[in-house]
Amino acid sequence: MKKLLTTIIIICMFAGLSLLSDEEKICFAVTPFIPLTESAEAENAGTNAASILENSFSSGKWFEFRKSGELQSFIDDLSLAQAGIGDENALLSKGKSLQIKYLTVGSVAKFGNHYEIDSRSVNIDNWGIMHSSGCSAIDVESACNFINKDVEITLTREDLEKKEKETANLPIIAVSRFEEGNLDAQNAGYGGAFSEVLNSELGARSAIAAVERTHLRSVIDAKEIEMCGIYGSGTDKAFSERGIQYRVDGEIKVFPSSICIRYKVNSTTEERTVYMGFSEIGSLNGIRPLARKIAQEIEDAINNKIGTLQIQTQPSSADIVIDGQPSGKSPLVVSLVKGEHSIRASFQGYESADISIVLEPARVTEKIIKLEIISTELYDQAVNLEQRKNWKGAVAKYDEYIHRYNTSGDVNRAVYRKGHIQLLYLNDAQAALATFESLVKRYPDSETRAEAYFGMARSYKSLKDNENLKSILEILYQKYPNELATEEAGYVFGGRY
Amino acid sequence: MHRVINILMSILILSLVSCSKKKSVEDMLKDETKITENADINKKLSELKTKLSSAKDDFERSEIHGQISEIEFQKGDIISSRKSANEAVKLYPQSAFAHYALGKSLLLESRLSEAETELNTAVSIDQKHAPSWYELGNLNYIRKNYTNAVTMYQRAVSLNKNFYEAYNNLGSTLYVLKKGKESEQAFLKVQSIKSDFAPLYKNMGLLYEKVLNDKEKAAASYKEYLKHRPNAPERAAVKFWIKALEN
Repeated sequence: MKKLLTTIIIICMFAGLSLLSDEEKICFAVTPFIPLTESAEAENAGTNAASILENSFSSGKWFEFRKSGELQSFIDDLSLAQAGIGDENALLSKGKSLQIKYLTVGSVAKFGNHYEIDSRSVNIDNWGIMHSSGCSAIDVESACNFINKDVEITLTREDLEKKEKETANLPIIAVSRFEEGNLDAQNAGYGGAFSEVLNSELGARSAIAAVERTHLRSVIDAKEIEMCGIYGSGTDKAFSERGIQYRVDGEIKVFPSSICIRYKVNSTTEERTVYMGFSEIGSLNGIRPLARKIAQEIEDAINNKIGTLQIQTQPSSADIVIDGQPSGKSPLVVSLVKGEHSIRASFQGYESADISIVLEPARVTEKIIKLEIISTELYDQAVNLEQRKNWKGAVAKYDEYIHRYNTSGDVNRAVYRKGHIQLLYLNDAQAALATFESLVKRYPDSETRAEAYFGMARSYKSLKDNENLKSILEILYQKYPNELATEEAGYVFGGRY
Repeated sequence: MHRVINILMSILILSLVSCSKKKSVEDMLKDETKITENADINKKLSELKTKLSSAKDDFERSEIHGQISEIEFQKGDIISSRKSANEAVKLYPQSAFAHYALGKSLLLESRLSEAETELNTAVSIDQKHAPSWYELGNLNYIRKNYTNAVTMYQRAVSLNKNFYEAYNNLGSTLYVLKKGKESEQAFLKVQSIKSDFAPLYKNMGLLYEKVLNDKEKAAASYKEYLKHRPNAPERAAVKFWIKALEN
């Protein structure tokens, strides 16, 4: 009996071992690395790097490498998609048919006599970075040897599976591009290399899920016009459509003994900047450590410094201004840096509400703002006094109304009426000027803004200040050409009307 | 035995290759910061900050803060630039330059409404301040008010005939508005002012390809772009564009 039992156990053990060894191998493939600089391309460094890695990545117990020759057509399509020409969806289905689970993609830049090489293994289904490795070296071979050994030591089946599971619930981020902000930066060509290094470093973080930028190249390098001083405008939506919540971009400038890097994180759904930073290094040697520091900082910002604010108002559709910046209409969900924020909610016919909130990081803070209807009683009294030509009384009543509802945009009409009375009936051009100026400054989007400029022009005329009169008329003609007040100004002062 | 040799080899290679894991990130960055102290741009900043203590009045202090803000902006340190410009405005609110400096920093922080107020103040103080009109153009472009942007850029170039950045943005906005010939005129103006301005050629390529339907000129412009900017980050894509146009 004992003998039989031992035999059964041994058979079971063998069967178990054989099952383990039969576990399906995960299939990888290496694609040619992108040469980021002219000198790297001239040396064919991208293809060389990929080829060295392909040969050195010996197939192991749990993975196998498919030779690039077997997937040439896929690689060609990938190159076209990267150039913004091919169809990304067709590319995905082709990848699946080849039964590749992970692609090793990367880039090579050559600066002077050293190379920056980055390699990332990405999931072909969602282009999430599962493993990354990068290196500065004096030749391609040394760098590839380093990457190969790094992969051997740090890329295990367990790590890969763990990363796949963990990234499923993490904030999704991608590097867009780092513009070369001055001529020296353009000549050096550091922008592309820094984007790649940062991409690798973000891919190595454990509390964010970085999406490979090779996949996004068609978005990043779309045939966009190059504006001076405007970066990344209008690209958030394209990232959001690909399920990416945060987009990192920035600018790199090169000066003698100083390389300056500005970086920012945009929330793609809200199309707003949620984090911004700046760093400076003395030489190219600092690029990789700086990218690591920035990646840590961004991970920390997203997980510990940024919270979500959910605003509802009664009534809804109120205009919301957060920290002085118009942020849309309620109900509204926005990502903001943790800490105190000022919120103004305005709705026509209602008293504006100014509140301040303290936002907790990595949480949703809800705020319901109830707006009070503006009583027109004071305004009506002021109008009544004005009709009875009680100018001083009317000004006092308008003042009372303005003071009471000073945060509401509706007050602009009362401010205008007050200035109008001061100028025309109280003959106090100086006071009228101050009133019209306050209207322009405090209610920049008000319906009476053109009238206020016209009022300012008339005040300057009374004060015989021709220089300022001319400037104000210029603004009026330039900015409000179709307003009645502008037309009237044309009649009163001459000019283009 | 084979495994031990393998691990030893790995350690040897890892130590031979100059990579970021060799030295701590903090130490490497400290070394780098030391190098930047000797950079001319930072020396200039230090000098200006020293000058602040001996400034005779608020006007002079405001001027110095304005200059500091400008250098910080040049470096890309937008938050510091905004803070310095804010000081300049506080000390001398009549300075168009200070409002302009504040406005353009706010614009890069995407604080559009505040930027607009500052830039409008700058042009109301000095209506001939071309850079403020240019930034107002950028603000309108970001807001997709392209017609207004064109007006602002035109204002900027009418005040400074050599303002190639404003001409570039004017041409680009006209391209967005599909006003091909006008856009081309603006780009040709950039070329006459600064023929080595690389982004111009990419923009001209786009204009010829997408609006004026001139494949030959488009390919030539893209080639010119790569000639002026051989290390452009999108160089691989541009080569595909050229290939597609020439086929």
